[in-house]
Amino acid sequence: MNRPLDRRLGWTWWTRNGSYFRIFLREATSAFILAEVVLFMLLLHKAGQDAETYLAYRDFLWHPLMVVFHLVALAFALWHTISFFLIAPNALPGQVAGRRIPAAFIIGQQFAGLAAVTLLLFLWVAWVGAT
Amino acid sequence: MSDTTIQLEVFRYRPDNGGPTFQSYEVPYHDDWVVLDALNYVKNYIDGSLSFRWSCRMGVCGSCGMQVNGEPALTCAAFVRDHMPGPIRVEPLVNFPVERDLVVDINGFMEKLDHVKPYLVRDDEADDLSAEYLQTPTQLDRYKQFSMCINCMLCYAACPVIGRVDEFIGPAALALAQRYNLDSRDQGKNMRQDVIFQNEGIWECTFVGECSEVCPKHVDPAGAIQQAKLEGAVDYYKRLLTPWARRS
Repeated sequence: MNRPLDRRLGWTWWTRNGSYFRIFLREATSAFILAEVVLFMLLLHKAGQDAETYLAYRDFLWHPLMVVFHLVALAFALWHTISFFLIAPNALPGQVAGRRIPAAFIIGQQFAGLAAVTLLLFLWVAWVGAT
Repeated sequence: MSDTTIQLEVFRYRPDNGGPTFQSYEVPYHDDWVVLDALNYVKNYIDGSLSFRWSCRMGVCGSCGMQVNGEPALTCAAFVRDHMPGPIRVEPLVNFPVERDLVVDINGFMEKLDHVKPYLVRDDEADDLSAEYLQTPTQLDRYKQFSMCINCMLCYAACPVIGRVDEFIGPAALALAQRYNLDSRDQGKNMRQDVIFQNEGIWECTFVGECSEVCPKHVDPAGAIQQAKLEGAVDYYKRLLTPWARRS
């Protein structure tokens, strides 16, 4: 009797090798980003309440354990961003108007854009703080 | 004859003879041997019951794909010297049902391949079978990388999505669909859309990227799928924003 053997990777695929594990972690970064968004939304909500509630929540965000969490979330967010930038050339069409676009150009444009937006945000925050 | 030997740990499965096991064979070491040579040595001189597929022995036919020390590889291109001092564990490609020993059932893959119509489709095919369709080097360059696929199925063994979702069309078939969609001579794009853009088509891919890593022909199926996603999204918004525009 012919009984083909099932050898699919299954749900533990991400433990199979280092490469899979890194991909799994990259996807898991979204959980940290979601958590930071929720914390930020709560901050906005508290800001609309009385000063005591807002300051208590702000102190909670500055608790040493929360600071560690923010730093871990930042590290994951940067990792996700950089890995996304590096694979972007693969996801774009090889040619634009009949000419090949070098991968380094696509990657460089993204980092330049990130740097420009970050700089603008810092300048805006500094300007708001000064006025 | 070489004095040095290397140990092969070969996956054995005989459907009528219990579950899978690993069997060890001591084979001579030669600097220029590939894993396929070692398997053929076992078959010819040690154990004739060992079953595996191979044909061209030069990385063209795509028949001899197996897991070599856990990684999908063409055994005709995997040098034994790169795995010294051994042992070398040889298994059938994962994510495929195993028929016997190192032979996997490729029917599912062949059906998926067939679904994407991996050939030139012409509206005027019946009119003139001898017609020539000229192409510029720039037009060729758009799809040439994706046309190098030899259907070796290493990308299916490397893809964790295939291991979880049976219906996923998979890297090689989707890359070939993109290859023909990008071909200036082809007119079958609309006929492939239903398969490519279904849930089990490009959108099932999570861009793990291992398919491109293991591809022996550097086809970059992951890239082809992401490009198809981008084109699909752009096309969707074009249709949404300009419903009056006529499209082929």
